[in-house]
Amino acid sequence: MQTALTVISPHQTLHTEVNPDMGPLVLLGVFLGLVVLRMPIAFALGIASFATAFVLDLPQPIQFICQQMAEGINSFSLLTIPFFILAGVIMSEGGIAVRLIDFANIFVGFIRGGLAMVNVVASMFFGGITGSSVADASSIGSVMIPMMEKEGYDRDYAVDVTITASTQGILVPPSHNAIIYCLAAGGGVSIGRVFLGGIIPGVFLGLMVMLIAYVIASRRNYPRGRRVSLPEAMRITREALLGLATPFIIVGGIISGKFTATESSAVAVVWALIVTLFIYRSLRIPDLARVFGQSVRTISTVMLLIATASAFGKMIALMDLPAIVMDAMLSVSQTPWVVLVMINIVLLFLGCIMDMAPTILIVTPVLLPLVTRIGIDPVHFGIMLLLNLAIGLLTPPVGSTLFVGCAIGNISIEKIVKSLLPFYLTLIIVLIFITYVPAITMFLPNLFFK
Amino acid sequence: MLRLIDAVLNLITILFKVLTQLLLVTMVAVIMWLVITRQVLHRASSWAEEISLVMIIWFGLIGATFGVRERYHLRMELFMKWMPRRPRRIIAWVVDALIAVAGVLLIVGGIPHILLTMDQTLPATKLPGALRYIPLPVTGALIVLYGVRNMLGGGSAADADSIDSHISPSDTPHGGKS
Repeated sequence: MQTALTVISPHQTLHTEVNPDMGPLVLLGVFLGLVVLRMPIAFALGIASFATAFVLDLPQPIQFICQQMAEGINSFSLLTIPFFILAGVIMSEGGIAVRLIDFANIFVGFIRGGLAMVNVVASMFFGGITGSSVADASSIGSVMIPMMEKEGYDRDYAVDVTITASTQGILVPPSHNAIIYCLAAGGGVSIGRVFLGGIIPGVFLGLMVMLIAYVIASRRNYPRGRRVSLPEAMRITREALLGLATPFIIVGGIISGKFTATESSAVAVVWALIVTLFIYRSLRIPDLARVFGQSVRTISTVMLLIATASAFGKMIALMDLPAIVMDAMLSVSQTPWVVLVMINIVLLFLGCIMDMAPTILIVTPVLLPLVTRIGIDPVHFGIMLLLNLAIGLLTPPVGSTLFVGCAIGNISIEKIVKSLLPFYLTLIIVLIFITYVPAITMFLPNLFFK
Repeated sequence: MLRLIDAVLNLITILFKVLTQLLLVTMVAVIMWLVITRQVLHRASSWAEEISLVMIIWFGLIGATFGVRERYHLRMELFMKWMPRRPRRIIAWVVDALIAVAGVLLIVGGIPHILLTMDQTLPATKLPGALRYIPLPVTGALIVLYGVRNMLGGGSAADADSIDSHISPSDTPHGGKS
């Protein structure tokens, strides 16, 4: 406590001596400085906000920031995030991965490089249930990577396919990152539209990953998978569809207007519990303590980020930073496609060095006014943003999915990054398509919401 | 002494972990009740939304304190990896101290909000409005406790050294990242 209280005094001197124009410098400087020093990002956001509130000489700065933090998580649609994550954890702890892998095998197993194809398709389904690339890579990967190796696939290839495919979960609805985007956008963007917007880009990404995986598989002469007998296929399909109902409940509920996003996510949690406890019987009541504990951990990490990022966002808005960034970008070029190139480069760079949720929370309020100004739909921008940052999950130095894939495959990051090159290229091609062909994203939202 | 502190902190942590897990389950139940009253009884529950909004603040803020104790909040390992051991340990100690300071700020900033909203009542449930702000100082207090404990007994130094031995702060399934 003694030390804790002495460190506070520098702020009080800042309070009187520094002029208010220092605000942006303090906000970004303190934030970046603390992040570099390995302070948890959520805390760096909060402390930078406190420091800026002092520098700007706001009345009652401490109270003001605390108020912003509480307000930031006091939103009804925010409840979807804990519920999605909970439903996803229940499903993946309840052994959905193996069932989805068997299910995917029915459709694509017989192709050359069958297990790679199965990996991608299973990832698409799994992503639809959990919306998390890391959970996807670890659940699907821990089954698929050893299986692929046993069948004669190279280990680096198995890891490449697993982690690249797992990025589909970020785009395919329901994705809690899409909701974080909607929240960061300030409530003006409908969750239903962003969910629908993610479907075609997610599937397109999956198909492109399958294509590159197939090309490599043919070259290296990887085997075809096994065929499944009809009765077996029936059983597998029945079990998998029960699990796959979760994303349909959520997306269907929202689009039909029958449920709000929050309500449908709660229904999804109950459904996930019914399926795993009573139908699969893969979880027992005592297991639930572990499931809830795991969920609290993931959810509260995100919640604290949202709380402190909304204080940070409030400071950004108070100092008019979005307008400054907009002027700077537009002074380089006013041509939409050039601006989009710049935005993509900035986002890819941020994706490399930052984690996903904090980047969405910080970048959205700054860039959204700019992109709407040049005529980009917020839904289209959201999907672009998610894809950029999803690519960032696979890139060092900060790439959580990459790390998880390497840990599960027991292979060095350097080796994987080298073998990932054709996959990176594929993802960049997908990104270019999604950036410059808005229809890929906007077709479904425009179809369902007129 | 440290063992006594740890025993107390463990007890507190378990109590609050049970609280957050109960809150999570209750929030699902409350929203299910909202769905049932709206879809089946055609009269949406008036209190469900209000009470779940109070619970989400409690849940979100208090849940985040365990991440301080167990050090699983997202952070960037990259730059400190290049730092020699001694300065790295000192920086880790300062960062832990700053986290405790952030806890103090939450207490200092939260209590006035409680006092201001003491007399207000929430429209549907008639609960005191201050309920929404009580989690701020509670969270702050937990962060101070956990943060200070992290600094004691070489805790910060051990954490600084841990960069070399693991590849990611949360390389477990659902490790908080997406």
